[in-house]
Amino acid sequence: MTKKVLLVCGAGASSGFMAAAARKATKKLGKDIEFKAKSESEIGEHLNAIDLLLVAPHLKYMIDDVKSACEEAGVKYGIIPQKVYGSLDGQGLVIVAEEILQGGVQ
Amino acid sequence: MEQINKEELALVSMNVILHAGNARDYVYQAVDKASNGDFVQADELMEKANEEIVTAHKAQTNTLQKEAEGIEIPYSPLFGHAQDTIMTVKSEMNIMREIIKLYKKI
Repeated sequence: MTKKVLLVCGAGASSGFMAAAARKATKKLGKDIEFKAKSESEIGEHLNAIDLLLVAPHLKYMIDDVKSACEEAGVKYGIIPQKVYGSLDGQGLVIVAEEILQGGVQ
Repeated sequence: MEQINKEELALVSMNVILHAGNARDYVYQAVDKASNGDFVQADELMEKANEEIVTAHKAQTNTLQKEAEGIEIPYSPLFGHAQDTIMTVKSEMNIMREIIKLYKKI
């Protein structure tokens, strides 16, 4: 089944670019993961329909809120590494997402 | 007319957003420390926030100065968003600096 990953940042702009890069990489790698991007204010509306929530590194100040919301909804979560985000490394993001989805680091 | 490559501009934007975000993270940590009376830590964190905002600002300035050199900057909502982010964080930093001063007095 397709794994659904939601990326969030302040306005959904930079995470939108990140998601586009990840979608390109997913296609190239032949993975079954769907990447979408939204603004952090929309997290609540989407939590029930996703497998993993990835927060942009510049939003790490809100990770405590994300943590409790995700734990309550039974959704995995993580912070996108700065290196991946800053260089729009789609393949890097796919690797990070897979690691967390497979139950590795959270 | 020479023009900045769109992909290059997207990467600069991501880095501006990233460093401005790091600054915001430090600013909030600093205020939190100040509210607990830990002013040495608060000042150190504000110092770190300043370093991050300077890094973000330099990336922005370097790009803007290219226009002065006759290099055209293509319109990019992401770059606009990056500039908005940096200015918002700068304002927050100025306000929080005053709030820390108040905490020191009470």
